[in-house]
Amino acid sequence: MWTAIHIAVKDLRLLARDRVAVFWAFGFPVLFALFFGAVMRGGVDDESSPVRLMFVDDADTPAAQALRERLSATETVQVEDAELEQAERDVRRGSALALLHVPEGYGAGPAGALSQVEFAADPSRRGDAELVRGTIAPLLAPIENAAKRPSLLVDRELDLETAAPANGWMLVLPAALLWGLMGCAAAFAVSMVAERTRGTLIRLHASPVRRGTILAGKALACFLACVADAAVLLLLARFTLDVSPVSMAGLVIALASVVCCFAGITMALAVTGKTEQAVAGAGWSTLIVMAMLGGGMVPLSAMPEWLVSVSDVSPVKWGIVALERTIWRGFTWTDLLVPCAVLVGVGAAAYAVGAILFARAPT
Amino acid sequence: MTFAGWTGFLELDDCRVAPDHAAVSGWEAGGVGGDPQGVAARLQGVTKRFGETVAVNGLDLEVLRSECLGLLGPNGAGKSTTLSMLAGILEPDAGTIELPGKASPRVRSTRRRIGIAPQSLALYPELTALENLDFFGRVYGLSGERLRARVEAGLELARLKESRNERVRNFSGGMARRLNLACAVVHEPDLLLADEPTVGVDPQSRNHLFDSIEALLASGMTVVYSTHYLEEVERLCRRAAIIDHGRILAMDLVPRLIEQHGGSAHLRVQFVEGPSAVLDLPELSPDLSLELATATPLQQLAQWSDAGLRFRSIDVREPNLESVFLQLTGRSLRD
Repeated sequence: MWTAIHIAVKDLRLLARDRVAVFWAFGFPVLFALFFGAVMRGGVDDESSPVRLMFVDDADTPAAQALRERLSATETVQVEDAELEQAERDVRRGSALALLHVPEGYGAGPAGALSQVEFAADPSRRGDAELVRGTIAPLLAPIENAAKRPSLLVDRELDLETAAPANGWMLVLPAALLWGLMGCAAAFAVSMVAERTRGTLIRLHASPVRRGTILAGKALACFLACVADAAVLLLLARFTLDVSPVSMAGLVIALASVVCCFAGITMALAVTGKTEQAVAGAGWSTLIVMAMLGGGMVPLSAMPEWLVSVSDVSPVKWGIVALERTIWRGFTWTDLLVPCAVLVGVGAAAYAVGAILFARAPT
Repeated sequence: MTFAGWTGFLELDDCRVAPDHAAVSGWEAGGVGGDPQGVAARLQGVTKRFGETVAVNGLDLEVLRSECLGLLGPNGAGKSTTLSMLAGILEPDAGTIELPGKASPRVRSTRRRIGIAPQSLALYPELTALENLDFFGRVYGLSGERLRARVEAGLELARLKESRNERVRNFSGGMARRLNLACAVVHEPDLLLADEPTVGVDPQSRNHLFDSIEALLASGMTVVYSTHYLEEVERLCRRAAIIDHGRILAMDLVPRLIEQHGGSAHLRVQFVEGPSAVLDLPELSPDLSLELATATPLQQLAQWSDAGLRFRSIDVREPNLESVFLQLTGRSLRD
């Protein structure tokens, strides 16, 4: 245990002494995170592909049925029927863009009378939401009553445990944090090969230290550096971007899970190559593919359906889900359990693979 | 010369005092405290292959306690592989390696008794000399006051007390080599494996390294010294093993090796004028020089001098380990 800590302290000291490495581990991920955060933020607002609209029909009237048919005929939305509770949950979790609640009595009044419907949308996708709102409004009233359309579509307060994000940075912070952590973790992927090329691995192998302890020390260093990286990003977000997470305890758990995941993946990558170039290349390639699949580059909402299904295999997706819920979306502990368990499980599995490979690797 | 921090100081000339091979006993005693004239390591029929290449081929070797055993051979002879197996880093494909008490170097607890100074510098360039020693001391389980004392002793051994807080990346090759050696013994092992420890260093640093190794020998440490520089073996080692193609070709006390395998001395003279016909000399070269092998070069010179011959130059080459290697392998150490 102590030897692993000594190895971790040594690795962090080596990192701190190398200005270039410090930049790549801390500075670059922050810049990278901010850049991609800004890019993604714009991408979210401009998104215009078909989106899921949960249709809650509590009226069960011909007028409600007609409204549903008119909505289904548009190319903007993909209408799905749901109960109110389910629809709210899907929107709150971000798996559906919006819900349209047709209340009891809709269309039951005298012919030509106008009835209101309730609309609620995922606050992280305001661009989409406005597009859908603009699609729905003309369908609610005939042309001669066009001026009254806006008042027919009233906002429904979602039963969220938190308010909508205070600013756009809260929306992009999860992806920004993930990019930062991936960058930091990637910097540690070469640490094992560096031991080999430096010759110090021979000395470590000749010592009484177990190979598992060497790997554990490196994983610990990676974990601590990623935690420091996350702290830098969070402080930056808190004091310069006015971001305050909805639950600090939840965020700490989510971040710890994400860091466990990337530290484990990094250790698996660290033992696979024989040169620093090979490991660095494999590390970044793997992380970028995971980010692409998991919504770290292109929002999941913009992906085709099959790719959204595939995205479940990417830890980045689960990281974004966990971080979004703890930063602004709100969550129950049960909501947080699944993504965090997936992240820790992936990290542990990857670490185990790394440990087995390292134990079998020739000296 | 005295060296603080290492127990049991002897005069340097005493450093080479090691038992004769025939006097080996106490193998079962185990530990340093057993028979001081025991065996520090024993390799029997050790073979190591890397794919199709046989790096070490049925090697038998005994390292006596408190001696410096030279492993002399050209690059690729199998020296580093042998040391790696002795250090427990590599596992032999065949044969056995035992330390006192029948301990295997593959067992982690046994590794505390071994230190290795790898051929390549095994240091962290971004750490200081002190931090490198401190880290490797901790890796071997040292802590507290003992760690501090050992780090100080290491700095003194490497003569780096003044540069303790300088980063290794700023060190000269010689300073780094000395630190490389100090890191190998920071945990005070019984057996030091020095793999070509003087590669790429200037003569002054080389002498510093020799002094350090002699100080370690004086403290009772056993050293296996791998090199392809015969003069290093001649200076440091009482016994030497000639290794080539993964096999020990000969192993004995250095003088005995030379006596048995070194051949005759080599005499080269250039005369001032041609000798008279009465002298039975081989044919001279056009510049009146002569080259011959003889067991008694000085007697031969005296005989010629008595006959009135005068010499422009005389070069007598006594047989040495180079000629031993040449005799045994048919080629030079540096081929």
